[in-house]
Amino acid sequence: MIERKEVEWLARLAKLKLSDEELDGLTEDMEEIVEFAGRINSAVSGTEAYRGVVTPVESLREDVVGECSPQDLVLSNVNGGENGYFPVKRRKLDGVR
Amino acid sequence: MASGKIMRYAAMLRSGEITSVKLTEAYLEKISVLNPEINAYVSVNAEKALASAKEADAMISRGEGYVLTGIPFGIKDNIATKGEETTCCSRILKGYRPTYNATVYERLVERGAVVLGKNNMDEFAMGSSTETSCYGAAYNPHDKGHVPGGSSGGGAAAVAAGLAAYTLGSDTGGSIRQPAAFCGVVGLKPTYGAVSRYGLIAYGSSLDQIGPIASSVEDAAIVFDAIKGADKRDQTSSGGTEPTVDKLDGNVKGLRIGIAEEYFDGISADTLAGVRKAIDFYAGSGAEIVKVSLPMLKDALPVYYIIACAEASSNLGRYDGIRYGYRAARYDDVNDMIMRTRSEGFGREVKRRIMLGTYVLSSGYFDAYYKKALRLRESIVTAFTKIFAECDVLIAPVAPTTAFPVNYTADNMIETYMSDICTVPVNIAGLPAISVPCGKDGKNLPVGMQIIGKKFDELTVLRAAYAYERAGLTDVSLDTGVTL
Repeated sequence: MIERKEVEWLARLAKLKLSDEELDGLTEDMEEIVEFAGRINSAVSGTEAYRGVVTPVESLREDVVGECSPQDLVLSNVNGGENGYFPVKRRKLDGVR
Repeated sequence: MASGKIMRYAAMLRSGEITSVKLTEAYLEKISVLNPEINAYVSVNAEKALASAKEADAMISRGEGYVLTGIPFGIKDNIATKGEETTCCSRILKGYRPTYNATVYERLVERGAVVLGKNNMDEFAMGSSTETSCYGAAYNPHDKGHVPGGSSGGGAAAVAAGLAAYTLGSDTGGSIRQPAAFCGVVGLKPTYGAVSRYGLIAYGSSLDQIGPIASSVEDAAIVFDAIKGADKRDQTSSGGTEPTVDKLDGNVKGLRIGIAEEYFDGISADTLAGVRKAIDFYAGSGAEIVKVSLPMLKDALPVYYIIACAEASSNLGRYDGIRYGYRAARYDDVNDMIMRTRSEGFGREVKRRIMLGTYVLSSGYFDAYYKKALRLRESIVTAFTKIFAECDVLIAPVAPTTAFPVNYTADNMIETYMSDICTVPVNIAGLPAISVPCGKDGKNLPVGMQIIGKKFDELTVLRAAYAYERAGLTDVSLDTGVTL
């Protein structure tokens, strides 16, 4: 049984700010989903630890310094940024800066 | 025989019968007519497509062309194309223009392929119906009252409706194979690592693979040959670039085909009939049918969802509204901005999966869920390794049913997750698998069968699929071609 408080805590961990309505809906969903995932409890696994999906690793680039992406390209998704920074201006919820 | 397009178009381009510009114009025209009905594309860049087509014509006239030169394709909206909006069909990435190209895109463009636009998908590849897209649902060209499948539903619908010669999709738990089956086209999920993931916006990094969706096995092989191979920008990639298409023949004599009855539990009668018919074909063509057992199959679904969602909760942690994409309009401070951005930017299914991932990785639950899922994953890998000592490929259904009706998944969350039972084991084990049409059901919806192979043995998978195609048994095509 997963409680609303636990879902709220998970949302905080996941950096999600949920409305009351969303929280109610997700609590219901999580109840079902966790029960579904919980079927793993009845599964019998072997004793071997997971070795990883890629064995061995083949594609490694040379350990040399390469070119970085130019700053203007990196900032292109925030209209060029401000003085080389990603600007995050304060926009108060009540409209006061 | 299924109507492959690539070799036919390549011959016509080389002989001068058509130009790439004319071919591209024809596809763009068809997209303008049909796309409003099926929403296979979320963006089309006609200017860029025609410019690329012009360059392709120049390449061909200089004698420099490849098979794929001048041939138009679509690309899933989670594959980076520099300077072009790439959103994973999510509000949180609206406006995001990657600063680099995906390796698969570069490899196709180097060969003069012409990209038409971005295909619709479930948001962040999380879904089985292409109904969670922020651009609206895509629809199945065979019956618009049904979904095209997901998450690469837009790409599958585009190929089925003749809106691209082929498309690139991605498959984390079945997202190429299932929409290919639902739309009656061919979809190949390569071995994990066979195709570079550089430029694929991550969902489940240990499960994701890019692959082709095409109207024939031969076309799928041609595209796979062009995009595969080790890439130093993706350390999980490996393998060479030796072509598979040259080695396709119709011969399956002596091929050992494993049938695991666990795959056939709970499958609809029409799907069962289609796949069994295919098995009979192979038996009649000289293949050896071998009964095998995969009792771990029933554990695959919770293993997949735990691992995929755990990885997704980490991967999607980067979306914070600071460097690109959507940002909330009002907030108290940076932390509040991040939380509001993510809450307003992600859809419900994405939030569900992030929350499940967070849950299984959190203290108190990590051992019981995530660590156990990893151990089970190893057991599933071992089970497949043992089976492939007895057979060369497995044949199985792609999904328990044909395409769902529209809006079914919204009211049937767990049932939708469970419909991935036939596809997720392949991703867990990192194996190659292809979906090939094998008939239609009573509602005239396509049925797909899945051929699963050993790691890096796409050739045997493709050869087996090609044999079925060569016998004329895969053609459920709707595509009436383009007017040239």
